[in-house]
Amino acid sequence: MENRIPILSIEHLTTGYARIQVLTDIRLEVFPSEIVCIIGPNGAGKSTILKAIYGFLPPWKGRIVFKGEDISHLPVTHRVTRGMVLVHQDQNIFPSLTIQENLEMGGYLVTKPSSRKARTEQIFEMFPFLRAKRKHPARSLSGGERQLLAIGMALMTNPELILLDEPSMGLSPQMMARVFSWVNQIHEAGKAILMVEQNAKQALEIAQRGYVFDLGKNRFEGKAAALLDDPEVKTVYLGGGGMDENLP
Amino acid sequence: MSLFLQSLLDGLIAGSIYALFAVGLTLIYGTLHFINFAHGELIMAGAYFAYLFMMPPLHLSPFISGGCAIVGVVCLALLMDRSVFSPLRNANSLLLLIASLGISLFFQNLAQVIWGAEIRTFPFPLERGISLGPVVITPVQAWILIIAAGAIFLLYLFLKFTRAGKAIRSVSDNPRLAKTFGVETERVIRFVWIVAASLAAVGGVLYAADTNLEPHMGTINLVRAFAAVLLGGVGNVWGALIGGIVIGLSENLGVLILPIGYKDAIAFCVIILLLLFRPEGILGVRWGVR
Ligand SMILES: Nc1ncnc2c1ncn2[C@@H]1O[C@H](COP(=O)(O)OP(=O)(O)OP(=O)(O)O)[C@@H](O)[C@H]1O
Ligand SMILES: [Mg+2]
Repeated sequence: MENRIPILSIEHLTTGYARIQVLTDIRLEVFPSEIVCIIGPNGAGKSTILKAIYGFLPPWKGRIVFKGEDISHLPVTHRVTRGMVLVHQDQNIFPSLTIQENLEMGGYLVTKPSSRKARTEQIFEMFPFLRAKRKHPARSLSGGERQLLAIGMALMTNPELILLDEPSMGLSPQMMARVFSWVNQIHEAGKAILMVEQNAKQALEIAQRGYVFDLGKNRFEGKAAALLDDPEVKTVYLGGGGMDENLP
Repeated sequence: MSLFLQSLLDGLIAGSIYALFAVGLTLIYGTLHFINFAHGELIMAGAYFAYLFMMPPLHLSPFISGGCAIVGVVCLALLMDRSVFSPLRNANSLLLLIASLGISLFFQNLAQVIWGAEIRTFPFPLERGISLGPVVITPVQAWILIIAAGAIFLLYLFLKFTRAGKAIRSVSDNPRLAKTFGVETERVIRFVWIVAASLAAVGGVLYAADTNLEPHMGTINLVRAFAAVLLGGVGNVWGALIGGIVIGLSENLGVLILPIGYKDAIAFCVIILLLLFRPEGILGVRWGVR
């Protein structure tokens, strides 16, 4: 896989919030149609990487290259139209808009109303529970349903690369399994996914490759299976993580 | 009994106008996160612009004058945003509030310089009221109800069914997420100013038609709008709408019990009581549409 051209590559990225530096000299690559998983402790800068890739934080140093184009200083809208989308870790739906309106907003840049409608139908086919509740405000959904709605919204523009920030956060084990299985299916439909996860074991099981970040720096990287077996990664970053924590 | 019903009708008419003010104020709050003290002056400007077009030498019809007033007030609001609020976009809301207070005072005094402090009325001929059973409604009042209801209905259609309307609601719901999907905040802000200013202009013209004009008419109407916004839960459009009607009704029903001089105090009391006991509002908190 590594000899192909990456769809996304982060080169020596340094950035942060206002004057607080969070990321130092980050390298990261995502190849077409692969799941790449980012793991690391709380506050490691995982969400910050995704926000920086998406253009919410301007790079201080380094470059972000998407599909061969340097997008480091291009606005968020440009990423959406070129085929990238971000699913935030929290507050990733519009609570007072109806479910259908949420999906429409996901496809805000799909300017042709007929294609937007067709896309909405496709998402409803994927997630029939959304169709059943399409006139209800999104705040009426449960945590897991919200997460699936957020993924559905992201799919509205038919992106090639999805940045997923902790899709399993706060979910029950059953719901978590459902979300992971959807992530896998979206991957099998040919999309590249860059996913941040606290439930590192499960995430690495569906991923092809993984990166471990700590204190805003690259710590480890490699094939997902190799990371799962690495003794240091196992004790420091996988220990205690995973499903056990979430069982009652 | 007929006095009660008459007050109810008068309250509804006044309330429908206050609703137009309140909805604009709450829309601005929802996207820009500050209470725009200059909203009252948009109302006042609407009334005076219409007056200007109705009086000699222009002598235009009330409807055309009202239309021109809307255009004028929208331009004024966009100018305010460009010159004052836009440079302060990332400032805290206290600073924005103080800036808007400054604009408010500026335009009150400017209006006084141009038109003088005296009370004026639109040059409408006196018309006999129409009796509807126990209540009387003048043709002007009937028009006020129709126009206010029409404006609210148009607003509903705009917010609910147009792409721009949905973008406005999404930004007031979750600005970061709206940006994620490519909504340009500045464009949405411009739309919100246009909508809020149009509603202020329409309301201002209707208010002047129902009562009269004077340079400080914005202040008391800002207080009413603010009370209505608080009633509805800050940022909630349909809550503000109901809030406006409630304020209109309580003013007109209140004076059945209180001396008429206390009419303007009612909105103030509502504000104080709400801020003390229910700052999150009473109405519409769970309504589907913000
Ligand atoms: N908006 C912000 N302004 C300033 N500092 C921030 C902001 N958001 C995050 N940080 C800081 O940046 C660092 C990395 O945060 P980040 O959210 O990227 O961590 P994370 O790896 O996603 O953690 P978690 O697993 O808790 O989601 C933290 O030290 C955090 O305090
Ligand atoms: Mg995070």
